[in-house]
Amino acid sequence: MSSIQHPVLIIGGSGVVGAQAAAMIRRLHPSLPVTIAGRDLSKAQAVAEKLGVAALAADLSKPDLGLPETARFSAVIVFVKDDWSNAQRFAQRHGIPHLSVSSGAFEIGIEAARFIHAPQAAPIVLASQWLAGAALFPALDYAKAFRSIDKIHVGVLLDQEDMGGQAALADYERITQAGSAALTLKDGRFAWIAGEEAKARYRSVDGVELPASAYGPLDVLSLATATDARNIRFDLAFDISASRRAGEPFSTESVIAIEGVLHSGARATRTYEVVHPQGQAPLTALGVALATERALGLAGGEALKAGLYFPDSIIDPAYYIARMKEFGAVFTEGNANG
Amino acid sequence: MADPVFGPVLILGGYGSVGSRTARALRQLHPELPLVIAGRDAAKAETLATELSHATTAPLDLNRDDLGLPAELKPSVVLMAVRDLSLRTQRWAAAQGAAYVALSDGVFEVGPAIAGFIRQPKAAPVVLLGHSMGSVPALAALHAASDFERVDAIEVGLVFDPADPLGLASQKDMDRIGAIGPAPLVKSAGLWRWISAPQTQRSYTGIDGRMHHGATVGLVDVFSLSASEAGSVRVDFAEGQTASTRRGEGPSHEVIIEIAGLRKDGREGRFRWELVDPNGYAALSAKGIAVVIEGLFGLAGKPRPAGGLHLPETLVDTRHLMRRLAEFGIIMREV
Repeated sequence: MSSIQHPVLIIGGSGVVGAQAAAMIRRLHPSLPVTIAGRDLSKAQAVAEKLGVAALAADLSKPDLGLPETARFSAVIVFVKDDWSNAQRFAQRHGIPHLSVSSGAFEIGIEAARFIHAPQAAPIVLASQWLAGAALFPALDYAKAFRSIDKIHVGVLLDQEDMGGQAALADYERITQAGSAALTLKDGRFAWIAGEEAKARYRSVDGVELPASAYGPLDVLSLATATDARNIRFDLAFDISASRRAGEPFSTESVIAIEGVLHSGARATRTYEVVHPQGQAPLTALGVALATERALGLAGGEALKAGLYFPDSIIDPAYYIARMKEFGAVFTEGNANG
Repeated sequence: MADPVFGPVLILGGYGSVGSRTARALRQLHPELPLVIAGRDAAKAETLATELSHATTAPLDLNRDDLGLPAELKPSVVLMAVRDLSLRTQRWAAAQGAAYVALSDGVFEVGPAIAGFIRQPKAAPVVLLGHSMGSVPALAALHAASDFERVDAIEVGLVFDPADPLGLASQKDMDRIGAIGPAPLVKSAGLWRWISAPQTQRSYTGIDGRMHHGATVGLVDVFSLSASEAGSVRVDFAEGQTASTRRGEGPSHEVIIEIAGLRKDGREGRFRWELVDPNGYAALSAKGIAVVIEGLFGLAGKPRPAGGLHLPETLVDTRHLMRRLAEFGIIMREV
């Protein structure tokens, strides 16, 4: 039971992923109040009504977010890119956790600088890893079997019908264009790669090879600092998922390969597949809900103190993965398709 | 500052252009502060250490987890005057409990240093100091902005004299940031934006009234300038003959700060400050870096930090910087 009185404010909560995140938070913590906020109040109200929660109009271009002066919240989650940093400032002013999911690795300094200028104000959770951690946490869990790691390769497939809403598309376009290079770790050194070097092939879970490209969410930063891997690369294929090739609805896929020395001393390469048959939105929604409950002290420890966090610095991978399975993710070890 | 609780300042790449000047600036400010000059070339390190006094040398091997440094070094500050694209030096500094000062990271490159801090938030201070000129222009602008009731815009323009060429490390940083970085970052009307030409272009007048054509660069100065409430901030570089060269005195480095807003005395408009280092850009960088290091010891008007992620303005009271610059003979003038 949550004893938190003030609602979690979900900005962009009427979008595809935001609405699912609101539903997921309600499902995990039925007594935790949620407020859906969006530019379009009627849209926010429509989503909120279905969930039985409150709705407000929010405007990120305003320092008070256009919210009523008396409104109080327990946390702020932002599903759209807050180019003004106003949501983060709002959270800091109110001393409540701020969670964001939209930044590329090259953009992380903007939120970090805001934290640096008010380090004691609020917990700032940088949850802009792929689908808020849906590929990262499995990779971290699998990495535990290794004594030393030569290489972590994460390939993800986002179905062309599964971009989510406008916010996700805006992130994708901004990160692939403004961030002209993607962050990788090569032989222990960070390298930003672009052009030919960024091109890749992604082997889908049905064995079909698809064109892919290096992509720059925060996963490489998390993996590089959480493991001793000497090589890390994250590739994205924006294409047709295996399920859709089989005539079913789209799904979302991650293929994680780790090369290194196991605790037994044997060298090994292990490959894992994670598929969610409903696509990216349920996983992103779950990841955000797990970071939110952790920030508020509703799972796995006390409420977060003011600080700067990655989801993987506050959530145990085993718990995260158990929740992913509970909410429909399918995990397979090895290349079952040969 | 011969206090035994202050371990030495370890300068990796200490005999390079900015590294050696920083060592000399620190020596000038603190005659007994122990310094360690580390680098691959022992002879160069030794020559500088002898000149500095109270300084020793150490080998440096960035390919080793212990950096090839002796275990008993126990530095209080690790200053990165070389580029390390791995996390090794930051991890080593954290393990030693030493502050880590990253000098080379462009505005899009700060992720690894930030991630390293997130992983070990209590280990020791981590300082993002990839600013132009060791953060002197950014801190000077914040100092000028402190006289405002309301700050609308801060524009910093730097003039590099062609006779004051970038050192090897600085040139490599600028080349890398220009080649692989995204478009540079500015804050414009309240919005963070990655801009490209023609918005990157800006012309401004140097101290002798001559126009210079500059462009935005992807440095972290904008993060520091955003400590103010200014809705618009940017920093531009221009190459051009400085006023001192035209007077026949040799090249200098010019910093032009323009701030729009409402002054505390009620005047409203656009105001301008100028700051010149007669010894060029690297000399100015060294002074700024030295003052930020003072901040890590709690000697720059703010408390000594035990840990935390920092930008120079969290370590240095801008009035302290102004006093230090004045001691070096550099005065910021409102014009």
